[in-house]
Amino acid sequence: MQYIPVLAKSQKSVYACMQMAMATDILRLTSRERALTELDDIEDLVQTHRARLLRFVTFSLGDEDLAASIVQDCFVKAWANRHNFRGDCSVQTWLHSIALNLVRDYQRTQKFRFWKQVRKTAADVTEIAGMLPSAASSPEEQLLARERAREVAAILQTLSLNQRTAFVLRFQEEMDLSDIATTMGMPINTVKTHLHRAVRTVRTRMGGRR
Amino acid sequence: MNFQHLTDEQFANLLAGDHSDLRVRVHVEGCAACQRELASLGAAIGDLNYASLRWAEKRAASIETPSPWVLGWNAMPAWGATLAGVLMFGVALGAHMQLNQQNAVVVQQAHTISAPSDDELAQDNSLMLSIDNELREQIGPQVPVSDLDAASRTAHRHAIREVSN
Repeated sequence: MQYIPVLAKSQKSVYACMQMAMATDILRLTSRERALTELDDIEDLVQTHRARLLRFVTFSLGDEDLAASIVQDCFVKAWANRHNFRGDCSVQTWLHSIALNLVRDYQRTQKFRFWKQVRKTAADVTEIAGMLPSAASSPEEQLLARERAREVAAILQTLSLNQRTAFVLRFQEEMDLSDIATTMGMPINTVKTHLHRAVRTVRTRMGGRR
Repeated sequence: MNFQHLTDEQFANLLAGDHSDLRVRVHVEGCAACQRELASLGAAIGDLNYASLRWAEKRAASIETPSPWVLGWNAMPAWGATLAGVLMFGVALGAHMQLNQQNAVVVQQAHTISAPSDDELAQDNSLMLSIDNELREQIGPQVPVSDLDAASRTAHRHAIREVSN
């Protein structure tokens, strides 16, 4: 007699699990469809993501002209492969992973090694730091803030690509660790290692770490 | 109070806004040095984020939407691009071979001119004969020059010069 309620209970839990799985699938499908609609409108896609992608690629490569070209390629690639987007992550994460792959591809070429030595169009960290607002604080504080921002930007340029990417995605793009792992195509623990090494270098060079 | 200062991992979590670790929170509340470092580096990163995004927004204006032609070409599947490439190569090869054939015909024609046929030779010979006859009629009967007197020789030379002119 006790057997039947137990079965009924387990059946209920199985149904509940199935319902949850179906709901998850529906949610994933909906988010994928929404993302595909977003990816179809190339003009809107470019307008929405170009600034953040340009910043990310510029920090990755240290060359703004090259970064602009790679961002353009990134949009072309994303649009051409939009039907392969599974909806597991956000469009922003997906675009960043495409951009990062393009950066890695470019860094392997001889042409990049040559231009890295010449660095004619290297991003000017002083110019970037100079974009800080100047209304809220005293001139001394503004100067100090610009100097600090310039210093962090300069330290980032000395990090390895993986450390810099992890740092930029975490603190600039404000991604969580799982999204960074998806973007970089690495396990979360590896991402953490790169991130902590980057933070250690920044802390040490900024004079804070004891 | 815990005097073990923040590790890089704890520091990174706090910078990213993760304050879930109670022990870390307690330490930061009681440690002026860590508070100062956290505030200073947090402000520097915040300022850099703000400045770099403004810089990127300004620069990104030059990044235009890719043209439909570029999008279409890149959206073509690999086999399609390969097929298009093979077709383009075929058309180019065909055009090249046709041009070579035309050149061969021209060269062949040039050879034909240099070696005329029997008919053409016969036509040329008859033309030359008719010219000779006309000249003979204009000059008159051929008399050996040695048989002519001086006046006749001069007249003969004038006649030849006029015909030849």
